[in-house]
Amino acid sequence: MLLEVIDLAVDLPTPQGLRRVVHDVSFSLDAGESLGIVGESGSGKTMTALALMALLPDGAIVSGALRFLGRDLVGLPEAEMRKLRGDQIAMIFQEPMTALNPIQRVGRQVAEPLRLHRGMDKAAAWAEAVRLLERVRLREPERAAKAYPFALSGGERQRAMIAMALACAPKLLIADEPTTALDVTVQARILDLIAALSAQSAMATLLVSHDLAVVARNCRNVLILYGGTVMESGPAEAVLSDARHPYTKALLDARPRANAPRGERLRAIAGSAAPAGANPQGCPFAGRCPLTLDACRVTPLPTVALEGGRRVRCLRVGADGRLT
Amino acid sequence: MLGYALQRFLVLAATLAVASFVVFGVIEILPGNAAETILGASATPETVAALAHKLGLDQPFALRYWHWASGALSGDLGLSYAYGSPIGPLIAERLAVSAPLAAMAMAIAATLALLGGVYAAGQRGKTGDVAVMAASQVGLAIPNFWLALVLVLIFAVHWRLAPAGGFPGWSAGIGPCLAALILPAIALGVVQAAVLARVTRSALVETLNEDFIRTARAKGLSRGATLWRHALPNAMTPILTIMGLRFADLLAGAIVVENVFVLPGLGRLIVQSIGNRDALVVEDCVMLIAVTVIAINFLVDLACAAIDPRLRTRET
Repeated sequence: MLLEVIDLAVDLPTPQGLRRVVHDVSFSLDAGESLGIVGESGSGKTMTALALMALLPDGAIVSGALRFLGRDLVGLPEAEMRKLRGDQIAMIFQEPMTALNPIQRVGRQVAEPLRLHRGMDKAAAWAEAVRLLERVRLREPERAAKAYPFALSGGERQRAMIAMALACAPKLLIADEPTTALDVTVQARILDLIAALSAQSAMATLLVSHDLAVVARNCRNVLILYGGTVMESGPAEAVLSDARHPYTKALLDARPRANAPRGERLRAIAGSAAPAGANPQGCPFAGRCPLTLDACRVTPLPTVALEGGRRVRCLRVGADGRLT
Repeated sequence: MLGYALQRFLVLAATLAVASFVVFGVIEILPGNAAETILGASATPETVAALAHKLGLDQPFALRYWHWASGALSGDLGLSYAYGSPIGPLIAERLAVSAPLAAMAMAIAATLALLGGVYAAGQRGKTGDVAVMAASQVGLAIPNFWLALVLVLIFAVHWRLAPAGGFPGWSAGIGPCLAALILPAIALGVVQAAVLARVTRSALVETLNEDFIRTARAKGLSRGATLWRHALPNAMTPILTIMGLRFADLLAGAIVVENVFVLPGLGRLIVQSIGNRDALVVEDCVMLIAVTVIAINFLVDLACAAIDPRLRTRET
C-alpha cells in the first residue's frame, strides 16, 4: 500500500477558535492507482490534499494517520517532510498563471527540485529540465525553458508545473483542480497527459476536483466529500452510475445535460453548501437533504459497506444499499 | 532592456531640465541679493548697484538662467559671490564629506531595513514581528536631529567612543574620518531604516501569500530558502523603489544633521550660502542634490527591470 489515510481530521484556527474542516476521512491508494476527491468549495478537499503535503496554514492541527510507504506523516518533523515534498510526493495547483515564480525562467524552476533533492549541478539540472519539458510535450522545450512564465499560455504553464512535479519521479502526484483554470480543450489534453505519465511510471495520482465528469473520466476510485466528511466512496464508475447517497445523487442531478429539453431549468441543490464543521454531531448534509430526519442532525454518521468496495455514510441507507 | 533604459534616460533628462528651472527660479524669488549682503547695511544704494552690476545680478532672469545652465552643462559652475572663488572645487571639497556620509547612512538604512523586514515577515503575527514593528514605529517618530543629539550625548560625551562633531579631513587618515561620520550616519540611517523595514515587511508579507510561494514549499524548499530565493526577489521591486524615493529624504536630513555635527559638508555649505545670499552656490548645490536623487532613481528603475522581466518587455 502506497498511501493509507485513516480517520484524518484537520482543525483550522479561526478568530472563534479551532474549526474542524476535515472529519474522519479515510482512503487508501496503491502504486499507479488514481483516486478522485470530489466536493464543492469548502468541502475540505483541498485541505485534505494539503494535509498530505503538511502545507496546511499555520496553526492547523492534523489528527489521524497518514501512512505513506508505511511511515506516518502526521507529526513527522519538518526536516523529514521536506525531503519527501517534491521528491516522493509532488503537487500541482489550480492556477498555473500564479503558481510559477514570475521572475524566474521556467527551466530554472523546473530544475529546482533536481538541484534540491538530487544534488545536481546547474548545467545538469537545466538539461534535465529541458528533457522534462519535452516529456510533458511542450513545443520547443529549449525555448520554453528559457522563457519567463508570462510568455507562456495557461496550458503551457500547467505543463511546466507538471514537469516540475515529475522532476524527481514522485510516487504520488497530488493534483488540486489542475484544469479548472484552463480552456475545455486544453483541460482534456492536460488530464490525458497526467494519466499517460502516471501509467509510464506507476505513479499514483490524487485528483482533487469539483468536476464529476473530470473525475469519472480519469480516476478509478472516487471519494465524495461534503462538509469535510466523506459521503460516499468506491469505484468511480459504480458510484457515478448508481449513486446511493442522497448528496451524490443531488450532485449528479445538478449536472447540466446535453440532451435536456430546451428551456429546462438546471437543477440546483437547495440551500447553500454547509460550512465544514456544521452539525458536528450529525450529517453535514442534513437540512439540505430532502430525506432529512430529525435523527440525521444528531446521530453520528454510520458507515455502510456495500459490495464492490463501496461505502456510503447515510442514516437512511440500509445494509443492502437501498433507502430505508 | 536597452530600449527600456533609453526610455528611462529620456524621462531623466526631461526631469532634470524642469528641476533646474524650478531650482533657479525659487532662489531668485528670495528677497535681497549677494551685493547687499556683501556690502552690509551701511552701504549706499549706488555702491550696491555697482557691485550688483559687476556680479551680473542686474542682467535679466532668462539670461542669467541661460548662463548658469549652459555653464553647468559644460562643467563651469560659476564663481561664488561671497568667496569670489570657483564653485566647482568648493563643492568637490564638501562632497568629500557628504558623499561618504550619505553612502554610509544608506548602507546602514538598507541593512537594518532588510534584516528587520525579512525577519518580521518570516515571523509575521508572532512576537518577533510585533517587536520589530514597534521598534520601527519608535524610529519613525524620532526626528533625526534629536537622535543626533542623543547619540552625541551617549557615544561622544558619556562613553567617548566617537567625536561629538567636526571633521579631521581625509588627509588625517580613514579611521578618524569614519569615526567622525559614524554617528551622523547612524542618526540619518536609523530613521530611514524604520520606514524601509515597514516597506520591506509589507512587500514580503504580500509576496508570501502568492501561489508560487506554496509551489516553492511543495518542491521541498524550507521556509527560509523560500523567503530568500522566491519571496524577497519578487518583493525587491517595491522595496528598491521606495528606497530610491527615501534617498531624497535622507539627503534633506543630511543638511540638518551636518549642522548638528558641525561637518563641513554640502548641507552646511547650503545653509551658509543661503545666509550669504550666495545664490549661485545654493543653486548649484540644490541642483547637484536633484541630479543625485534623479540619477539614483534612474538606477533603481534599471535595477527593477533587471529583476523583473515583465518590466523590460512591457509594451508602451
